[in-house]
Amino acid sequence: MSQEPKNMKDKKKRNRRQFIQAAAAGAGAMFITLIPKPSLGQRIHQIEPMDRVPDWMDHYYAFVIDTTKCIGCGNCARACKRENDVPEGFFRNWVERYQVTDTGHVYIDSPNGGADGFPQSEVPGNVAKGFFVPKLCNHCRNTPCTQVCPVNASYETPQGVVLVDKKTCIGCGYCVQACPYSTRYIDPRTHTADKCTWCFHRVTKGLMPACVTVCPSGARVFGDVKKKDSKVKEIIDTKQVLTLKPELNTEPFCFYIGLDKW
Amino acid sequence: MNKYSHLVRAFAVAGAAFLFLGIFQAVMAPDSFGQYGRFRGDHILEASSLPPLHSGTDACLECHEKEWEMEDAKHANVPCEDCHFVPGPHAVKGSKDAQADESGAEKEGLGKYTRVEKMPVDSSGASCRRCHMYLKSRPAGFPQIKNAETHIKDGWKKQMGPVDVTTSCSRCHNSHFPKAFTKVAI
Repeated sequence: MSQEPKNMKDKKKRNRRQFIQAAAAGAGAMFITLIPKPSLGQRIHQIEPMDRVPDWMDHYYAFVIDTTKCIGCGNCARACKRENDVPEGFFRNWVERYQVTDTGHVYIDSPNGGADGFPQSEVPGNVAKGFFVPKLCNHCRNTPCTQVCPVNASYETPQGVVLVDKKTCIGCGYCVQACPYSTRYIDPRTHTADKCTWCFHRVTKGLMPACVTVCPSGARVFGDVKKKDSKVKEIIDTKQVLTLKPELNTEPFCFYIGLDKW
Repeated sequence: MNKYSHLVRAFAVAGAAFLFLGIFQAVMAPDSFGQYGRFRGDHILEASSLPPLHSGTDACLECHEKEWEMEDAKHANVPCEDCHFVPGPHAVKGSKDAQADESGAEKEGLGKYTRVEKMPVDSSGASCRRCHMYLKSRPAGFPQIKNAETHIKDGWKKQMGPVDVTTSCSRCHNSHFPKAFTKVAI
């Protein structure tokens, strides 16, 4: 009892000071978690270069679709199905037909993803403008789909391609819901998520994706934005390009020419 | 010491939890996980090692230059695989000796390749109409057929007989040179 300070008020004061100090330290510790994570560009350079694919750090891919050139033949959708063995009724790559009447109504259809071409369509009213919009995975930089994967089966490669590891995927379908562009599906044969890979097995061999290979009108351009003389970089630098749903801040790397926003 | 026993206990529990989680992850995570990022590193190689199916026009040109002598032709920009596609391998690389054994391979001028499977041709009218049937959404300058009846010139109508939307375009048009009319209407 002799250790007890005679003045109880002093002890209380000291304790309060200690408490405030501890609280400040705790608050500071909490702010550590708010330090921003490095951006993807920084993260790319943190990853060690892979010996087996020595030039993978030299590439960053982008896709440009010119909707003013697309003729809606559906060759891309067919080639994608053949190349990637996409099951019936599912699409990694499809073409949508837009028809806007003079009354302002918009009619959108995509029979079988456009893979069999488009039939003559009878929409009520006069079609004032029409165009085709091919859709595929946008390979966002700020990917909503990989962020929600509980087992890290979906990821971005350093080349900017979003892939799904079918061996790790548990097929929960969370990423299918997270994708704002509806480009993912659950493969009914393997019960795992699947999506457009920009034909990763082709582009790593120096080939173009299958859909670009078969496009007859030059509406699809694929390339490497890290290469100075690439066509895709020239288009992005010199033309007016838009991305789909830019308000979602997903930073897609699939750019569109001739999009129409109302 | 007694004074800090509650802290010791708390840190012991936290340490045990971290140790358990560390061991759990080491056992459960795939071997190459975290090699290049937060994913299974081997998958990048697996994904890039799949065989490509479409070879592209340049690959066709290695043997079929003659068929492609159409720089001025309207269809020069159409990739071969839009109409010609075989799901398996069409030709494989083979040495000259191996080719000599293959009957006719040398004669056909296949170069250093040996044909495995014949290339089918999609010459149905449907394949033409996928691009050239009139649709309101197609670009305005693109050549499109609005009406099969009025498309055919009067001089040809007698020879053609009845024409409708299912008539094969290749009855008159050569698919490679659509303006050349090298085929005679039957």
